[in-house]
Amino acid sequence: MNPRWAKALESALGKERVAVDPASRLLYARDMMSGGLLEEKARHEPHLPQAVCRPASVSHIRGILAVARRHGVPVVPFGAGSGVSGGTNPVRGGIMLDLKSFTRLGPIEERGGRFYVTAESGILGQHLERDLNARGFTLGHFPSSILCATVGGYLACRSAGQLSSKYGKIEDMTDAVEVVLASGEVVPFGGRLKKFPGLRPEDVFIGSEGCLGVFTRARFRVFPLPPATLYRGLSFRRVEDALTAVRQIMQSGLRPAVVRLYDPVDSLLLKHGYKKKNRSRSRSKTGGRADWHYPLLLSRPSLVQKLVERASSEALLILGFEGDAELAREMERQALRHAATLRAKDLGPEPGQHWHDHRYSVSFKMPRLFANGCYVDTIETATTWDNLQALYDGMREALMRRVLVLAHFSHAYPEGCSIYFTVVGKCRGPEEDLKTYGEIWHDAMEVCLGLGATISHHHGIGLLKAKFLPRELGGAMPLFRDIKKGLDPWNILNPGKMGLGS
Amino acid sequence: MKEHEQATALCSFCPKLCRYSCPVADADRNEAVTPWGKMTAMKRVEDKELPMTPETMGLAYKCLNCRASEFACEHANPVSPALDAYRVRAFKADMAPAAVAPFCEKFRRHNNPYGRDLLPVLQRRFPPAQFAGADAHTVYFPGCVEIATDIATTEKTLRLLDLPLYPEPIQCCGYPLFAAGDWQDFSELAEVNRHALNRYDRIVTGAPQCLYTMETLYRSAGHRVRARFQHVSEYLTSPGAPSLTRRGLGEVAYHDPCYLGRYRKTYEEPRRLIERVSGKPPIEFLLNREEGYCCGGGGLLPVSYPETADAITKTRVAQFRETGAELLVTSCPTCVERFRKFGVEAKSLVDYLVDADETKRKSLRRR
Ligand SMILES: Cc1cc2nc3c(=O)[nH]c(=O)nc-3n(C[C@H](O)[C@H](O)[C@H](O)COP(=O)(O)OP(=O)(O)OC[C@H]3O[C@@H](n4cnc5c(N)ncnc54)[C@H](O)[C@@H]3O)c2cc1C
Ligand code: SF4
Repeated sequence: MNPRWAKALESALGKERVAVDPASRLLYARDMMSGGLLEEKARHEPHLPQAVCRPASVSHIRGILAVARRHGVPVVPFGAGSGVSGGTNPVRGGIMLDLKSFTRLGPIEERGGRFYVTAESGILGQHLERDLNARGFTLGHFPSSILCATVGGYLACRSAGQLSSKYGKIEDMTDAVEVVLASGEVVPFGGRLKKFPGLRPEDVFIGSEGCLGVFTRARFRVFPLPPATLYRGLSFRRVEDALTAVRQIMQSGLRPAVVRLYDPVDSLLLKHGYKKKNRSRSRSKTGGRADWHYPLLLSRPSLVQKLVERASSEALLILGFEGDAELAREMERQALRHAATLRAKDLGPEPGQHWHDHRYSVSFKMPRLFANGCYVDTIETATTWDNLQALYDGMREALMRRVLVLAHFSHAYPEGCSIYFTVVGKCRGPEEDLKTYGEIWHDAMEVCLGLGATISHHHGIGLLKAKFLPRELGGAMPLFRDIKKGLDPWNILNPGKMGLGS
Repeated sequence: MKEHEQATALCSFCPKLCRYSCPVADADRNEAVTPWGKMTAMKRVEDKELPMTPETMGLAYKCLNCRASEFACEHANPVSPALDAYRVRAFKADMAPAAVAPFCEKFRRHNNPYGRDLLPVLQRRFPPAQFAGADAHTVYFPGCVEIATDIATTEKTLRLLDLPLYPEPIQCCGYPLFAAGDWQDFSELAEVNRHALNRYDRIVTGAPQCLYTMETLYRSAGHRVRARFQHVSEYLTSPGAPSLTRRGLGEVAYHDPCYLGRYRKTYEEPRRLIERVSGKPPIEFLLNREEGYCCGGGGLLPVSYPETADAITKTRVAQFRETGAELLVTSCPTCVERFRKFGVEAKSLVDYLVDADETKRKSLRRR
């Protein structure tokens, strides 16, 4: 049955921009959180939105929010649904606010020798980068989800790309944002928040996961395409040595664009890839064909893990340097010098080139694993250098009993580094899998919180980590709640997320 | 599990990694019409989690058959063949989009989408000697779109290729019936056409969609055609093809038709021919070859969802304007028709080649 407020929505933005049919509602019910896919396998009924809206202007958004306020209906901002934390799951029903009609891209502007572009929030990352490249520029933001995430989603989740060590995370590239508040008020582009004049809107809203406001556009700093890119692969005998090398490199003032250190299991998979030289560069015609070896390999994950780790403790480091050719070469030379002190073996440019050519391929593994009786998830955390090894060891110990654990250290900074754990398990039965999945996340979050590491470096909090956020924020959580209350006293924007209660 | 069920299952677990390549998703800006959305909806129908309604089954028709997603997908998951299978189900259950059934009704009357017989159109334009006789080995098959919307190209093709015309009463390959999900009528038409086509050794056509239909889809309907098929661009670059004279012409951009490009991997031949007459390679669209963007004319989309089809054509037209070229050249009559509808000066490849050739001859004569 159509909700009683559907007519009001239709008059606010036109019938063709409001969908209430069963297929639309179901297709907006879940994002890409692995737990959601497991629920899907278990045939648990998802929370459904009552309507899906596709506004094409700020006044459309204001119209929708007015209906929502009047009728007390939740509104969930929606980019492309690639989030992996359940951020868009409409746990209280309501209206999905699909922002993909916001697709305008402005000209490149120069200010004080720096370049900027204004992009609307519904543009897909890949389209943005493609169009910038055509003009000779890059945003420098390459998340593995670039093919399937929007600019608004980047901002809402504090996204990080593969070249973050040079370009920073999305918040580092953002110069100004335009946000529509639950009240319908528009925070002016590059302006200030009336209610909290001391706070920069960029600091308040970036990372707020649709709970505080709706992004409609943002101005980003962009960079001329680099004239040169150099890649290097290095092999270390132990993860610890490699981490020391990365730390030295980052703290010496060098700014590699790519820093990816793979632990032994992950290294093995990466090496397996680049040694297969003659394979086609990307596509292999496998379609939906079944793969029997995945579940077989994963039936005893701890055994596989031990066998692999006994065979090799090698850690592979991929470094990439961009920019002026001479400068890139010099940075590479200096980085190699640091690595040499830790007895790294220089593998030349090939592993790095291979990584670059296949840098989004790993995302394609997700559907195959799920379709073949397995599940996979990623847990991304970060901490300071002095805590990093303990975090790596602690997480592995907590997770390895149940699933195969791969890890890589990416997003390295002078202060610390993020660790990206990939966990892969074999499905044993829908309910059992959901139970195991819950335990994995519980244990992982406990390790992070226990060691003072962050529970999310770039995937956001959403639903998945909502109950853990108050512990991470501690004394700052009441402040976060006050900001939410001040900006959205009706609690209509994405309720049930980020530990902000219902 | 059937192949299309495996395909929908794979997509349903995917973070929509090919969505950026799908022109329909681009036009409608809606999760439901991304390749993931369409395939997941079909899977949910299969699993009885979604009711089979015209609205849901309509999603199977929100596809251009352009195969862009298949090329973006590292598993090359066959999205459009899977959706085609669901079209057949929808059509049988009378759940195709509203315009589809009347369209098929109209098609059946004259065995083409134009509401009139097309052989007489050819007969009025060309003398009997230009039609293939019993001894012809190679014939030119113009296809219904070219006859109905661009017969000047048929004329130029005959002149350039010096081939006789396909002389049969049915001048349509039946692709529209296939794309409508009307498998039974498509199959019957394929059978009739197969007998006619088998009188020849080689069929040359300027319509890549017809080529794929007759060569591949007929076979999947159990009506394999023995004859060899060639696109005009392939014919003109094969040994013994007529020569073309060279003359520097204005800037042209070349648009890759999906059925010639992604379906057949014929990317270079048309470009070589353009370069041969103009002395320089065509200007490239930002999205070209494997990444080429559909003109909006495939998959019967202009019939089932004309607004979406029009939005897609407009996007491609905007991409053409960005090339800065004066003229758009392509190798498919459907594409030519779509571009002309939106005010672009578009020419079929042969039209362009012949004009270039004749301009050259005229200028030589004047000298
Ligand atoms: C295969 C894969 C790889 C990934 N790799 C990376 C990676 O390398 N780096 C990374 O950072 N992330 C990664 N992610 C996570 C995810 O893609 C990002 O979080 C992304 O930023 C989400 O964008 P989206 O447009 O899909 O947002 P959605 O999933 O639609 O939404 C995510 C959250 O943002 C909110 N939101 C969306 N748009 C707006 C808006 N305009 N205004 C206000 N709130 C909004 C939603 O309410 C929700 O809370 C990956 C995900 C997948 C599936
Ligand atoms: S076709 Fe491939 S990339 Fe696209 S949704 Fe399906 S599995 Fe994903």
